[in-house]
Amino acid sequence: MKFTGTRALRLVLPLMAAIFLFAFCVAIALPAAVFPEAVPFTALFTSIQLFPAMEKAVLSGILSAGIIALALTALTLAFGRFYCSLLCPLGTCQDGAAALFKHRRRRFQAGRGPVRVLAFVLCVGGMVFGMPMVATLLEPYTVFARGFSRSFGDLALVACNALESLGLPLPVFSLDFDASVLIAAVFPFIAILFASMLRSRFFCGTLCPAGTILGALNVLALVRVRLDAGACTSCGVCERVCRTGCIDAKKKHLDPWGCVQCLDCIVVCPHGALRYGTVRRGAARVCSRSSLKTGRLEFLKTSAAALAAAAGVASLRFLPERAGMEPRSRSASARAMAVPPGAMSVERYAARCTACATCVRACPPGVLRLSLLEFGITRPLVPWLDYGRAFCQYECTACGEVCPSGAILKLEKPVKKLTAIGKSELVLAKCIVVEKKTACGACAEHCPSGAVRMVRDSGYDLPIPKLVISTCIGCGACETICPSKPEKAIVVSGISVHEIADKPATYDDEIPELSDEFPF
Amino acid sequence: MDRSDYLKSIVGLGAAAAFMLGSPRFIAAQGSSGPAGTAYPDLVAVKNGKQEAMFDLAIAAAGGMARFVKKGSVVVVKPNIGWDVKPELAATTNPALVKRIVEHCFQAGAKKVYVFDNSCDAWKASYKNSQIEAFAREAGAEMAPAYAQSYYQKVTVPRATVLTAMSVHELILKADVFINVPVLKNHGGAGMTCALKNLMGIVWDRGFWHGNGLDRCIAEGALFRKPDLNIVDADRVMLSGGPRGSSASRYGEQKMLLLSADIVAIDSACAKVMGKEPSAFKYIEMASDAKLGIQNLESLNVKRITL
Repeated sequence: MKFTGTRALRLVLPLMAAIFLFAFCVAIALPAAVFPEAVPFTALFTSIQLFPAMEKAVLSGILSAGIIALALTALTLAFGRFYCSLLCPLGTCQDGAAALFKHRRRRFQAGRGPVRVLAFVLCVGGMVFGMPMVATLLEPYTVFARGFSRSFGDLALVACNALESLGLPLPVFSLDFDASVLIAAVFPFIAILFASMLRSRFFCGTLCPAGTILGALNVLALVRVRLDAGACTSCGVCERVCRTGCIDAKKKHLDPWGCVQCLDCIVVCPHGALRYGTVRRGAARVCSRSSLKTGRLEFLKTSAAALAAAAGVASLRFLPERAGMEPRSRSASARAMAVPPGAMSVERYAARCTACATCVRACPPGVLRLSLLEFGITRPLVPWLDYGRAFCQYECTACGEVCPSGAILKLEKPVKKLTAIGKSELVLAKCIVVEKKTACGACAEHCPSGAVRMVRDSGYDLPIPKLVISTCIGCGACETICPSKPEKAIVVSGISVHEIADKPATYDDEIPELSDEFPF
Repeated sequence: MDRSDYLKSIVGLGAAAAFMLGSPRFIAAQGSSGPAGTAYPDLVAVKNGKQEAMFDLAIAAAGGMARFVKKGSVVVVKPNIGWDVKPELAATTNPALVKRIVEHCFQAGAKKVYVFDNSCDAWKASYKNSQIEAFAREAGAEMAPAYAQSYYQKVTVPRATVLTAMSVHELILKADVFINVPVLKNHGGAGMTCALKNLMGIVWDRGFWHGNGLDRCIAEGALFRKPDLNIVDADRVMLSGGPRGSSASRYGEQKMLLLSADIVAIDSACAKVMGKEPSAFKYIEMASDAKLGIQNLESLNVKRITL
């Protein structure tokens, strides 16, 4: 058989895709609570995701993301939509799901133009207007990262915990179980895999916004899979192996928008009608009257869909709930939820976050967790800081390092340590020192910015906590550690727009003169 | 009974006595401090040197590590690894000191040395950035995890009045020798954090101590198992903003190291290092009342070494 170069590629590509998928899974599913060393590794993977990189570049103006997006665009224009078959973890997972049903006859998936455009406009339009919910459901990295880590990832951790309890020297993982959040988080991932079992890679050619961009670039690509109608006999062998159903054997037509360059068709074609290469001069093309008519109809349907979607998105601007975007609290005390340093403001953060949950996994103390609809129905599953479980570590910038979309920007450590994401409130009456008349000081013990300190007060026998609110950065350490029951004496509320706090103020403690000699 | 039975019972009693006297746990539990007037001092204090050098002198003056660590024992070293901070902030124990202590343990014939703390900050970052992990590993110690409840076991503390039950780290139950290595700092709630307070890091539920009478719990923390040896890092002493400290904290460069098997005596001495009287700290009085050690330094054999 000819095309040994392609054959070689065809053997190597799935292997590389599998290795890449494995590395990806490890990078995004390992909790940083036990493996904080994985964070730079995770950041590497998140930085090369097309749609988030574009979002980061366009909406947040981050140059490095722009360079990566342009590089991916250039590579696709040169070598075709190989990203989808080689680097996309969701794509490789779908191939795995489809392989389970190998006996199913695959066929050409028709009439997808309008749906493609509709999904794309809704997704992009939503992002532009601060309503990321469509991207939360359809952006491939987001869906994979969140879905995989909360399904197979969590199951692996549960298994690990079980083995550890039986005596094996394994780490212990703390897991967060909230049924409604879990279902919402995992549903798109499972649905897409399931769809692939019925129609191979249905998502890739129909709903994937990154796929739509890459597909459009693929049409213009220099080197890509091409079908030579002259050599084609419509035997249909290629159509049956095509992973995205983009080959119509009867019409001798390969839809470049849907092709993911997996090269499976090239290898099986008995007539050598398919190749991975550049445009050949004089190659026969099918151009019948009927196909022109179909083409025109598709174009009209697609345009109508695009217009409808654009109109729909634009009208959403006027939804009443967009006014006053204060996220509702999850707790009974109705406090505002805090969002990570680097978010800049709650509104900016919620408008960009597609809830890929990478930050949740990369958070070493495990203070970040997914919400459900507290940030609004157009901003589902957005992560927040739950100070009931843990507090934001003073020296840590992991979330900003891994965020692919720029919802959490990476702050330099000295800036991060002065970024106030919330402010504490003290209710002295609930404090242990006041209630039980025994010493405490847990809050002051943990405060990294000296915002709460213990002072002597004439009204009390023991030192009581006092707030210097200007230096408070809202990290939540005081709230997490306060031992008062049933309600904490000190709690932290998120602030809508993050601000720069004052540097820690000197303490009023009386410091005795220390001798240079032995004092005993 | 006849002569052979008599001889057998003498030998048996002798063997039992030798075993008990030889067993490290028994030696450690034998009274709160060595009786005054013995060859070894009850408290050693060294000044003006590097931590490792001061420790070498202190342990030699106290009779050598072999007095505390027998051949083949399993040792657990509990420094302060509470915070994700650099060693210069002196909120955690000097890593070089921890390394030196581990080295001495192995020289004395220890089979295995563990180092751990139930950190307040995220544990991996605390172990790493305090550099205690790197230094301890260089000396051959194993850094033990303490970040999950499964590493702790519930025990009862018969002599306690408040801290009657504790979830204590499995190493405290398992190890033959328990070495306590705090760093001396001020503490917003308790006033001072030293040897007695450092034991908070061996339990899972630290919040219980804060919520049920901090002073009483600190005092009773040593009732379950008293450390066999206490070594206090009083080189750079945090004087305000402790125990975590912030960039506004002030320090006293005391350049001291203290060593004692008496946990109350060493805290009394450190109270004075901070310029206060031991009576200013309720938990020292309470611990003394609970017969955990001797508060009055006048009655003890104290060795002072100035470099």
